[in-house]
Amino acid sequence: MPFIDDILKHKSLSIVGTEKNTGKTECLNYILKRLAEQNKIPAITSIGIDGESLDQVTNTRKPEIELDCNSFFVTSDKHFATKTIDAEILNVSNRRTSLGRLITAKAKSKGKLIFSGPPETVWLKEIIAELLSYNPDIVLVDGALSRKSFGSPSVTESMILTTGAALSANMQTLVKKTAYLYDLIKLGQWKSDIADTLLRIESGLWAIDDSNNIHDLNIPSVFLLDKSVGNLFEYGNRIYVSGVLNDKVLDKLRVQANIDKTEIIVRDFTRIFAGQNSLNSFLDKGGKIKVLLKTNLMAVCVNPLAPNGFLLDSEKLRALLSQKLNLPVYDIKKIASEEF
Amino acid sequence: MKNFKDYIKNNEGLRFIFDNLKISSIPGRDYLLQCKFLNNPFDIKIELQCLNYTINFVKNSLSNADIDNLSLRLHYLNNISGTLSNLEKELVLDDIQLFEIKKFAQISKSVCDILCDKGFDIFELHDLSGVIDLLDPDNAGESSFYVYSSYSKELSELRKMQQQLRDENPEKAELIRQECVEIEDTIRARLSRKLSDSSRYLKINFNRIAHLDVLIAKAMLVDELNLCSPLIADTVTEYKQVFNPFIKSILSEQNKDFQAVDISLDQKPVLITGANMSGKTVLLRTLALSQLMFQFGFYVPAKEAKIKIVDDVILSIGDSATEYNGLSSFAMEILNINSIIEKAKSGKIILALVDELARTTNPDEGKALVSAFVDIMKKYKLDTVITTHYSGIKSDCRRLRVKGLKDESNAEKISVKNINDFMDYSLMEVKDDTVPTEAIRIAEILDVDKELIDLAKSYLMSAKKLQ
Repeated sequence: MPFIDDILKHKSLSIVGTEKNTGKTECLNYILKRLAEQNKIPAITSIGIDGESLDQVTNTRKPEIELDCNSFFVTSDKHFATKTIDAEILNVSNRRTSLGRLITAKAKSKGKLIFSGPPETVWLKEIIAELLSYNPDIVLVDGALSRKSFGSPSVTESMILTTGAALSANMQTLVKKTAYLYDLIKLGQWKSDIADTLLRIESGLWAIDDSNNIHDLNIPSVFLLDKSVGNLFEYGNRIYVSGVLNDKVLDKLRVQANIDKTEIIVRDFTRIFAGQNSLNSFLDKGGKIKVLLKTNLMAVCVNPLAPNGFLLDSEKLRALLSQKLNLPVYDIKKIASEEF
Repeated sequence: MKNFKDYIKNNEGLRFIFDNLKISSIPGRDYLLQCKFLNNPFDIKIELQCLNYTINFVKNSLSNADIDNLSLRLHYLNNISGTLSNLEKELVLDDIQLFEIKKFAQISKSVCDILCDKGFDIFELHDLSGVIDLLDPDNAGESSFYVYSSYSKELSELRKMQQQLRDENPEKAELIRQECVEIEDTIRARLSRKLSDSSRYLKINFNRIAHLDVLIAKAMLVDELNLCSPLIADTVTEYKQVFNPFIKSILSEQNKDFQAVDISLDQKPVLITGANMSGKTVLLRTLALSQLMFQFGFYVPAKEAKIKIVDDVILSIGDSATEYNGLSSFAMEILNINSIIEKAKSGKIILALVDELARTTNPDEGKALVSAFVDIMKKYKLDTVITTHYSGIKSDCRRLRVKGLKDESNAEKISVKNINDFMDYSLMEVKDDTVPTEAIRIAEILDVDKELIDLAKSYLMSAKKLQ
């Protein structure tokens, strides 16, 4: 049985798709099924409002997530009302998401449910902590690699990445893109007791001096960097980019004299939008990039089928990825159809 | 009538007070934000009596552990006012709302247990154990809720059957599920009907607990900020050693002290003069804050205070130009002044605090406007404090001057960093209509361009010679 024993070594796991239709939901359902077989109790939530029953991009129907009796879950007012599962309400949040308050509950029967969750990182951390207080065997987070999402899947201890033909129908490109993501996931963590403070910052560039004081560089966005490069290093060489890190920032910094002392800190790998080339040339010149939230990538799951019907060779894809990433790679649909 | 929320939007001092209040619950917070500005002596007296009682109760009857315990319970309180009003309207509640009622009733009971043991009796909290029993049919003591199988034998059996058939015969199972949903709905309706009998008590307890949370937070603030219990005055507002907690806290971060001052307002306009940086604006902010705190039932930042009740506090300080885009600072200010006059003429009793009226226009017209405003305020006997740098305001009013720089013998030591130490912020009564001329001196202290200072001095000299 692939990776179920491994994931149970961690308290929390997020499942993140590199693209829509890469098999994230199948993967989650598979894990839930295996956990149920071992009588393990999961607790599940999602990042933001990803849980639409119809995929809004391709208009294909998304499989709903099926929960076993006694599982814990968090979802919004709106999705709680549409559930087909008996559930005991354990808590209701004071804060609201765009879909209403978040409801924490325990399943009292088998049934189906659409998930929604906290739209930002600090709240997600709190929700995970709350779920852990009910002593489940693991907390699962239905993650997202969305540009719009302020919730970070990296707050979980471990992660499974789903990728597939939906990301690219060209196998070489698919492997290359996935490998680049893996490089980002592996970036080192900047450990500090001011991490939570930094996570609460919503925009702008900030300097962190040697005594861990945070200074506003008054650059509200990396897109406004042009005029202010000179002031970037007023408080030292460590800079926190609270929003996205893109090519522009890296290209600007790469040509500075102190590049080899420069350390950029970002929230997590999902905030890096820079291309592979500019990232590599920044790192090659001695620049450092670290993340506040780091997670353990445990496995990659592939879906060789693209939503337009294009099908890649599952065996070959898994072999290529596994060799390139040095990680276990699974085709969940295939495993599930063989097992059941 | 404006409420607390309206005032904190434009008053950073009151915002500071709000931020420093240790209110434990969201309903407590909402309660305070929606509190009306009290302009009736009876309401203020009652609120201050409650606060007095709470201060003594917290001090004498509650241990730190009790307070922690209480604030932990309160912390879990949700704002259920929407649910309560649905209950009042006899609507059927959904599971989430029933959960809220159950959780609230449990918190209410534990708060009551903590307080009643200690003899808290300023207001009664109703016994909600009937509500708890209704929503906890298995007597499990948990705060969770769902339509328990024990509410109905039929439901219990159907649920079992549905789970058994779920894999073998999904269609049948779905039909049974629909049956279950119908039974659940009748149970929710039954529960809601029974709960609506208690809706009045739930609502009373909810409001009282929110109020209590605010009272405890207000009580804790008294020692923290060194506040005093205000008396209600009929005509003359009188402060001994009034201070501004917001600015005091900023100063204390820089290891500086705030100098408290004495002031009284007796329905005659007060014109305050004084050098730049002598704290005139701070004084206006302080008077506004103290008046607001008083009329929201707080203790006030002074050693002693007797305060007259007003209908509104209007603070006009010329730095909020962002509010009305497209208006010049003068236009903004004069419209503000107009609204003060309109209120005065409509018979409202207001405290009007105006910083450097008409400073942004030419001094001749500026003076004329100040004099006219003072005359009108005097006619309506409103407490008005106006700061000004204009000399020669002839209107009949009280004149106070900030004493200003104390000791010019140490003049060379004064800098922008330590000016606070050399400034005497206290007020003295003066008779004449001249104003201190210390602008150039202050500019020197601020270390501005020497050429500017020298030129300004020589212009001043030649102007004096001409006179």
